Amino acid sequence: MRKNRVFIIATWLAILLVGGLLISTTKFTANLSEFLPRSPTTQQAILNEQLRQGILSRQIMISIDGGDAAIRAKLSNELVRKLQGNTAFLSINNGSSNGDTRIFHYIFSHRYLLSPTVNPTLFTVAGLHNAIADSIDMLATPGGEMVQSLLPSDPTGATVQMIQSMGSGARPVTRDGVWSSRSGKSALILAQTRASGSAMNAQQAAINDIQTAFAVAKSEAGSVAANTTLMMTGVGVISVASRDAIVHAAEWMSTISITLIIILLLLVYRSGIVLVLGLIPVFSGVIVGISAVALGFSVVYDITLGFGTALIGEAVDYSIYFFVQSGQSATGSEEWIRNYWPTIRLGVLTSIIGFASLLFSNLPGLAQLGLYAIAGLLTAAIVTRLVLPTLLPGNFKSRDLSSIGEHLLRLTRTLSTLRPGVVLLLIAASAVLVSHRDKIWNYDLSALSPVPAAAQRLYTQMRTDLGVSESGYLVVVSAPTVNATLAVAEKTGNALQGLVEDHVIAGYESPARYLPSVTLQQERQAAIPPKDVLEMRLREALLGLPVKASLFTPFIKESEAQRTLTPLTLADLRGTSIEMVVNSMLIRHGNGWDAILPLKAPASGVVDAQRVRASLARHHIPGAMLIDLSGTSNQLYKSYLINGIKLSLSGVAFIALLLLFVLRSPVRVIRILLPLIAAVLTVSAGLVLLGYELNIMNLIGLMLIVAVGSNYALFFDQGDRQVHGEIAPRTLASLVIANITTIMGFGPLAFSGVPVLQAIGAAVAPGVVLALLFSASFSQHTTV
Amino acid sequence: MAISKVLRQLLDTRLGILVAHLEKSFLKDQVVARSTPPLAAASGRTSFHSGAAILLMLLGLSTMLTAAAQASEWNIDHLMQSLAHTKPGRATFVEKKFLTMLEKPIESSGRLRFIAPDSLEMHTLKPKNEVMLIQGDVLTIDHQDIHLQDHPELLAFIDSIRGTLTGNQQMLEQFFRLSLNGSEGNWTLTMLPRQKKLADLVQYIQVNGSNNTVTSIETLKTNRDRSLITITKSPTP
Repeated sequence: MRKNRVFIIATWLAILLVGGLLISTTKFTANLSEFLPRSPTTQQAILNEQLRQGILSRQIMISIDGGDAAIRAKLSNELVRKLQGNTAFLSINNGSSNGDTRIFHYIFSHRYLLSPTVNPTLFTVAGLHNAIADSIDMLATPGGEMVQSLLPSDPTGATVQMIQSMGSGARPVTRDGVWSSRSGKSALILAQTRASGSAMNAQQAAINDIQTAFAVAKSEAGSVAANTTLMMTGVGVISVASRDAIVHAAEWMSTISITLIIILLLLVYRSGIVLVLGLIPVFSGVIVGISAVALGFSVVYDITLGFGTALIGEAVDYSIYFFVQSGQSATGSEEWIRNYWPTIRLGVLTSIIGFASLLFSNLPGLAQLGLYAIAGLLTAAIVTRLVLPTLLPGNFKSRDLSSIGEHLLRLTRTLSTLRPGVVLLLIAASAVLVSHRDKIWNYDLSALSPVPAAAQRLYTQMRTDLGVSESGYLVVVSAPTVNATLAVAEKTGNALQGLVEDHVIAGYESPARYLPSVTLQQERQAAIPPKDVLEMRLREALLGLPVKASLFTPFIKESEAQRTLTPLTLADLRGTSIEMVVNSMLIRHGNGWDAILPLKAPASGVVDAQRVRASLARHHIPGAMLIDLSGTSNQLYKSYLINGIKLSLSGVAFIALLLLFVLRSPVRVIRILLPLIAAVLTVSAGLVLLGYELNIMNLIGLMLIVAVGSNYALFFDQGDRQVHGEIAPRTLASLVIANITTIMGFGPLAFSGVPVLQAIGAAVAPGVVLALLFSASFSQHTTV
Repeated sequence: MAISKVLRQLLDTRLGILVAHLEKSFLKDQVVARSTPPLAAASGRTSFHSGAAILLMLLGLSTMLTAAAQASEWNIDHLMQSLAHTKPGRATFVEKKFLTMLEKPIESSGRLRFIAPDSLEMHTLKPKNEVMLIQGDVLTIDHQDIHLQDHPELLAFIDSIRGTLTGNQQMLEQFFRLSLNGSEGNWTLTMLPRQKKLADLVQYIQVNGSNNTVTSIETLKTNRDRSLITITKSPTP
């Protein structure tokens, strides 16, 4: 026996040690993609990759508010000046003059390689004549002076047409020489970090740099800048903030929960030793739970940690059952193992079956929570059963709570009169759910976002202020090399241009617009005639036009220069803003490259996907995919949510089967499950009535109600089987205490400010109370 | 936030800003354009010129349709007063540009429409069909908006013209030195820019008129480019 005891404790400690070591080397992560499907489609892989690593994730949008427009502009310029040399940023821009002359030079100095107007016809006598006549006509119309100074070096209007082909996106307003919000109340700055948006620490450092620079600029500006403030948003900023929010919430909530639970347990046990012993199964469960997730998945999501703190409220139940039910004597533990352990074991099994369904979910976030819950609960139960009795001191005495139990029992007896009420509530809740059946579930992926609504609003607001139009569709094409991918993108562009002319789409973007394939650049260069030929043709072309050939000396010179330029490649763009634009649409993917071509919706706002697909097929573009961004991911999420609901329902079915197998009485199974189902439906109906749409995290909360509540129901059922025909006072007391700790564990989550955790807290805390009350009302009290 | 949404928004932001840069760099913003020599002069003058011309036309068009009482004493005050009492109307215009880089003047023509209280539509029919519209602080050319707030000099100028329309001579004189010549039946209002930014671009603007009707607007730029806009009142529909 003693040897056995040493063995158990040694094994337990060894497991904890290994778990601790594992956790210390585990990577913890918080990003927006944790609830993206684990086996994503190609489309999802592209989105995912872009979100985590892409240039797109590197933007930090900065707004300066307060003060007057002049001081905001001053701070804006000062901030840009201070951060310009900072290696953490690829670029930082506030719309003031010095930023983008490079883009101009890029386009202007390579216009005959970049412009879609360049082809052999353009450089014939007739082609030149028509193009120059057009340019002069443009000069004549009001506003035509725009092109006046371009005429000598670009008489065919290649630059202007190139810009026009880039479309006329909305743009930020300028106030006092810097970008401003539409309202004119904030100055806006756009920074691009060197680190990707998922490199949390680097993002955090960049954010700190911006904050420091602003603080210095503000103090240098003196008292006029006193009431100015800085705001930032972007994928990196939001990720850092949500990581902070989750970690902060997890820390706070666990501190609050643990403090409350400790106070409660101290009041109950009146013993520090018992308290410490009581928390041992919980912490063992947490360590093994996290270790299991770390082993099963290479990374642990911060959300899982947040959820784990809530689980403390459930896992502590086992030790409560042990101490309260086993009563005063040291020999009580053996009695407890004999009388109560089978019931708890069944409870643990039902919980595990419930959570096992989550393991099959394709959302890694859910699968982690499932694994965590199973490993954590199983460990807590086993430690309670095996380790706890061996740790008890010889003279151990726990407080007898029979008297409290007696009081509770009298209350409980009156509850059975409420049984018809519970049935009525069940019917009413079902009626509510049926009548709201279309509004029960929120199928929008954003419902899961760990990003608070306020941060989402700020993001949307700044995006709007920086002047951006919505486009919901992307065409994605792939090829093995950059050049081949650009060539396919060009081909796709031809198809899309036809759709623009047919008003199926309003426009499109393409990486090939900024960096044509080498092949196309060479074709354009080949269209430019040698200097002497061009001079001759130009003289002829100018007949009948009010302009002398000598004006176009710069044109002749530049055409000759660009005719022999080495075609541009990705490497030539390094460090320019054009590189970022191209990189945002040209992505290395496995062994090849993907080009992303965003479409602009027509005035109707709806893109006819059928016609786009038909056109892509007609142009024989290999492997072109049309992606409806919001449609696709919401569709996927919806299928996972439905899948999750199905898995949960099958979990409940398996629980019923398990109970049926163990108890061998359909009536008892119904008596156990009915109160739980009533609790789940009542909570769901309540949330729906409050105008809340349930998401996949609420589903987990509902599963937890069943998992926790099954223990209560099983104890009441077990009590019914006892000689005296009802639950023992001590057992009842333990259930009530366990119930309160569960509320203490999950309740604070409802106030955590992290939507995902809130969803669990809001479902579990009221649900377990109802589960206890309903289970009590359904117990038989045969001797009353 | 939906991942797709984030991605989409980021992509859009990137592109939107690029386009904005391009437009700024060599189409619209004179501050930016000045750092890029081949384009500097054009872009600066462009917005100035079109905006100024349009506003002056707005001024002229609206006033010529007003049958204000003839004043016994003819001076700037009286001209301002009669110009201030304006009503909407239609007209045709012909603009001749004498550009130093061209050997012959080039011409455009079309219709003008004043829409109360501060909108003007300039529909060019020849040589190219193009619609230009000023509504409040927004100048739109072929569906592209130019926010006048982005161009402080232009806005100052336009505001001063608006000052004229509302009879606010004081506001006008804040930006220009005014002188009136000729008779009531054939007057010339010469406006010389006071601010350096305007003076760097524009030598003078001359508005010709008869009674309360503007008949032509001549702009001479510092680079010797000249524009003459002749306005003919259309029969009121």
